[in-house]
Amino acid sequence: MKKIVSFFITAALMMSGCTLDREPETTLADNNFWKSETDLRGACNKMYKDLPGFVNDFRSDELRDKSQNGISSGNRSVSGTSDDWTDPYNRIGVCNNIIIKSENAQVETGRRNRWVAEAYFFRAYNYFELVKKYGDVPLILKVFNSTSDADVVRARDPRETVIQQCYDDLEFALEWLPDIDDSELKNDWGRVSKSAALGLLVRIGLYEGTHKKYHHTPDGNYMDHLDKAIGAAEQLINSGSHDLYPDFNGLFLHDGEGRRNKENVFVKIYGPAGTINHKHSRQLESTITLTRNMVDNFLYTDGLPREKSPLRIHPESSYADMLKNRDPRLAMTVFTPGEEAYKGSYVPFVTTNQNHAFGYAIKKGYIGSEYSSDGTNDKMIIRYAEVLISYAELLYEKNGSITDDQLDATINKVRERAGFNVRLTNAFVTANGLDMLDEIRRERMVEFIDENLHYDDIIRWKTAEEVLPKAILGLIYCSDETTANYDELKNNLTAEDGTYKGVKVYDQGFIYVLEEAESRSFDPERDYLYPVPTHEISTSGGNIKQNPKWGN
Amino acid sequence: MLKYGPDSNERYNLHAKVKTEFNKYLDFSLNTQYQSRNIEAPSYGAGGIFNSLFSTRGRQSVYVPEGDESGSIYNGDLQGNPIDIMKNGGIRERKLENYIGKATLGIKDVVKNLRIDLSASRRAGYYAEVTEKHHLEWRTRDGKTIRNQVNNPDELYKRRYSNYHDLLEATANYTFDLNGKHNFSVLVGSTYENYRQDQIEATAKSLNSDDFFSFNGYDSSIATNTELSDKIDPWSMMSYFGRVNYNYRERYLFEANIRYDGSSRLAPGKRWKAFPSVSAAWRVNEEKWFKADFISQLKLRASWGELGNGAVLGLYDYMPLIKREDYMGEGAYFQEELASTDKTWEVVSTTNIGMDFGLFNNRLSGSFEYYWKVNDNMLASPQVPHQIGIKVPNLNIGKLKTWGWDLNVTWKDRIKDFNYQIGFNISDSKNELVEYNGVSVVKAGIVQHLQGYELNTIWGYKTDGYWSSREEYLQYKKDNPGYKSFNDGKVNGGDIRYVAQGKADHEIGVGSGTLGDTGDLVYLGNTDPRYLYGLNLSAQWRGFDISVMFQGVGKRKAMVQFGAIAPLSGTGSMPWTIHRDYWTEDNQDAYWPRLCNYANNDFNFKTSDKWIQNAAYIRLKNVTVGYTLPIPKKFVERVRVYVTGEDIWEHTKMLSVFDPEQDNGKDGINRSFYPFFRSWTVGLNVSF
Repeated sequence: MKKIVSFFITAALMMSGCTLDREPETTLADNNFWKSETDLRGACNKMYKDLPGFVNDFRSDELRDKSQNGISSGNRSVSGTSDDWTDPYNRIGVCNNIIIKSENAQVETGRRNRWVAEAYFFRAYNYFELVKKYGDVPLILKVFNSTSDADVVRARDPRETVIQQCYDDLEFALEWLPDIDDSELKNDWGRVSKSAALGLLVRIGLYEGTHKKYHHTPDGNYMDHLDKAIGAAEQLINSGSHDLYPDFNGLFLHDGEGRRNKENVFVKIYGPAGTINHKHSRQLESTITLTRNMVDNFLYTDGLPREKSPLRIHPESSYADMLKNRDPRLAMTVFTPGEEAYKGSYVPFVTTNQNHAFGYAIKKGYIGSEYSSDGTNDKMIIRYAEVLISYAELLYEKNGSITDDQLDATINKVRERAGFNVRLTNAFVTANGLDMLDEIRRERMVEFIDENLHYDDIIRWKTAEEVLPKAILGLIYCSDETTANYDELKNNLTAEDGTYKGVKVYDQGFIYVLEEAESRSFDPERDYLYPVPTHEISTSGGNIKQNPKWGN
Repeated sequence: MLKYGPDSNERYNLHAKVKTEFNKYLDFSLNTQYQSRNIEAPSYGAGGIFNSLFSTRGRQSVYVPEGDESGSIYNGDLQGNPIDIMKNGGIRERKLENYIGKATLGIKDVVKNLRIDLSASRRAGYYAEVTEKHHLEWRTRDGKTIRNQVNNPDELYKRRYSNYHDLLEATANYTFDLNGKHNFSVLVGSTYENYRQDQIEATAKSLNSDDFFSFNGYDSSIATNTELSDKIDPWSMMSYFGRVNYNYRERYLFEANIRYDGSSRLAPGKRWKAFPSVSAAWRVNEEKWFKADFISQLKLRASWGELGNGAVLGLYDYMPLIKREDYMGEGAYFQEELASTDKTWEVVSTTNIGMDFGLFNNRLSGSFEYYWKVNDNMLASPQVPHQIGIKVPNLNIGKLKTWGWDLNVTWKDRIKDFNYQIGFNISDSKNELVEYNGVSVVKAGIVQHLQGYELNTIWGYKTDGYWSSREEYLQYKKDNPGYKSFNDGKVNGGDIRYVAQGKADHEIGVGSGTLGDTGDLVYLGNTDPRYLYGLNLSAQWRGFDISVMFQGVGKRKAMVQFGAIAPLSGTGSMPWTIHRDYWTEDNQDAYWPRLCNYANNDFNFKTSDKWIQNAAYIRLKNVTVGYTLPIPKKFVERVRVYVTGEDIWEHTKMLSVFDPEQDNGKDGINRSFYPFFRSWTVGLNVSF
């Protein structure tokens, strides 16, 4: 009994000596991380996880969703918060954290910089996303320790400043990232390399250079941007590390994955099932459809567009008429009636076979075995064909002209790969009253369907105000090629003379009108930029200002 | 509820207590308890299954027809089959056991009038969970293509933890009196609490056999098929406290307290805080001059005190912590939240005045209380621009005032051998967020924190019936240039007419989202309940007993999410029978707007005065009828049989598919809730 009493009194006295310091035993904290290469690699992995891959881009006249898209039709409103602003900043926060916290890692400088270079790459990638949408954005290059830091409410920095920072970041990345053929990347496919940095430089320089040329944004000189991109393109082309994949069909399937496809410059890796997956094949059936507006851009086998080519079948009386004597990429991009598609053979207008709106059914990138399970094929974010076609556009925009040799090394090479053996030459353009710049732009449009480039292109070319307010057109109706009921469709089809509700809309009858022009609009003084979310404006105490014409 | 699959919840309790006095100085007691709980449920999750049951299209039959070659008897040609998922999707078993032991030693009279109590207790918990997720697929009729599937690949998950929660307490109490009139009692003490939990979680995917799930049989060649993690959470708390009680002849009572609390969850400089409190009471009926005999008890009381709220504190968030996610079998490490080095205790100070009374020989008794509280240093999430690039933790930036009152009255009486009791209680409280250093942002929906308003206010648009046709809308736009409503390009007859605030010369929207400019949003109420009341009636007569309890809320607003209230909110969501009354040209007074495939565009269902539900209700919570059998005492002390009905009736103005007691959360009611249900119980009490 004495023992019990002494036990309790000891316990009581012990309490006065108890400490309240507790450390997390299974959670990592800054003080036990950021030490080795494994730590740095693990930190960089987060950036790959957050990288968007397959994204359905319905913002332009290229693809259409099940219902009208607010950006494409000019019907969007200002929102309180937006992932388009928040997500890139969160990703930039991850990049800044790696750049700053890695400074004290116990790793040799070269190896440390190799990992930090990945953070610089992704920082540039994310700031580019922000500038494309919003224009001026606050440039944050630090790590925050408290919410009362002045930069938490920093005002928007001019886009020129932000893009210059992107260039600086990519210079560092170019210097320290491994080469795409480095042994280090052999079993590490998907991590960024010097090629990815160059590919991104080409993309940013082309975008900002042409954007500045046509929109006359302040600061800087558009030529400098074009030169930057040209330098990067030439470096990538001359390195010999890349080439076009010989099979345009297989390029977008599992065949095109990995380093053995030398067209891959920057990819997002997916799969296996149960890890990082997508549902792109299912989306092609249920949600995404290609517009007639976009289909019209394909050339005929005489190298002429539909407005000029005598090979064009007009008026069309069958779905396949538009495919005859056409750039072979069209038949590789969309399904033809009778062809084995999502759920059996493709029959237009039958919603049990495909649930997407009545536009063209996309075949490019469709993998039947992954239709109802998880998509595991990689997404090519930048591929070599884009570098070549961008190079052609850069040369033209810089010099006002382009030589036939330059065209053969770029545009014509891409055409040949696809089996479209028609050379674009200066003579051809002059002889047929075409415009070289339009033909270069056209090549970009037909090569990269459903690859998330078209919206950015029509913004930087300043052509959105022409192409977006038009009617959005879809499939052609031919009564013997579908089992759908004509009476249910007739109110949405153009009349034989191409009019719709009395207004001339097109030059072909029986085309399904997905959206009338009346329901679409584009305000050139407003719609080239996204509206800044009101949360940012109000929480910054008004430091952040709204984009023009998007409200007070 | 989910009769097709596992759904059970069993509890066992065992309790033993031993008390002994060693001698006139020491007494000792040992209290032990064993609690166990076994829960079985479908591994898909009840929330997911209910969401599926409420929205799966009616034209998808449960079973496949004859001649079907898909390989399963269940039909999943449109959406997953919730019945199949319940039956065959796999089970989640959870077993939790707690062992509690508490030893108390009391030492008294070693020094006269001094009593020392020491106690030590440990609560040890053991948790084991097994979740099996079986792969289910539903194919087309010819069996060739997979239409839908769940749990691909299949998965076995196990979680085990053991924890202990120790509590050491020591108090010393000294009582004395002066002249028998002034009574004093002084208490000092301290407590120390220590907790540690050690947890392991493991997941294996792609099991070898569908019948035998084990970590010994799965495809471990793919790195991403194995997930392993552990978690150790220790924390501790310490308090010192002292109390003085004084009363004069049990007529005037006075008490003062002080506490000094420290918690390991806060940064070292912010850990400790002192909290005082005082209270006083006056038993008026003990006064010599008090002559009203019919008042058997009258006590007036008042108190003021401060307490620290530590429940809202995180574990180590004053350090920059790194979170691990899985990326292709490797780890992806990042800092998810800013370190909150400045966080400290929330201090809630409460002032309280009240009155207890008893009249007519305590047949009528009751109490009334009025209180107000101020929560200084309220933890709230600050609103900052998103360029900070990281999640922001809660900071002590708020000041919340709450005030309210509480009244309860009971009448107990008997007429011969008929005893009856009537009890009524009602309370109400309001609050106001006085200070909030995070900038207030007003959005459509529930706004949790808004300076100058109560918590959880609802903001939305004002509506005025429906547009009768697109022409009417276009004409209105013509007469009010600049006005533009949601989904402008497709507004049609039967769409909600949104009212602009101020002049109708702009597009309907949230303005800049701040208090000064809320655009077209107006204040629509808040989700906290007001005027909570209860009514208890009971009676006993000759072995029979009956009791009835009503409970209700006088005033409350509820918000339902777009996905739960709108028909066809997503293309695949089945509408409900309540949605039948929709607008057509012949039915322009309908409750619901025109039928349309909303496909996730909520233009007719923006938060507005039309959709905010009146969640006031009264509910018959409990009816019990029992009978005590007249069995002689030498066999048993007492035997009673009873029937109880719970939640058997209610009245509310809310849409019938939703329950007025449903929690709103911060986003409104959604479609995944476990439904409220009525129950009847029959029971038997036997005491020896």
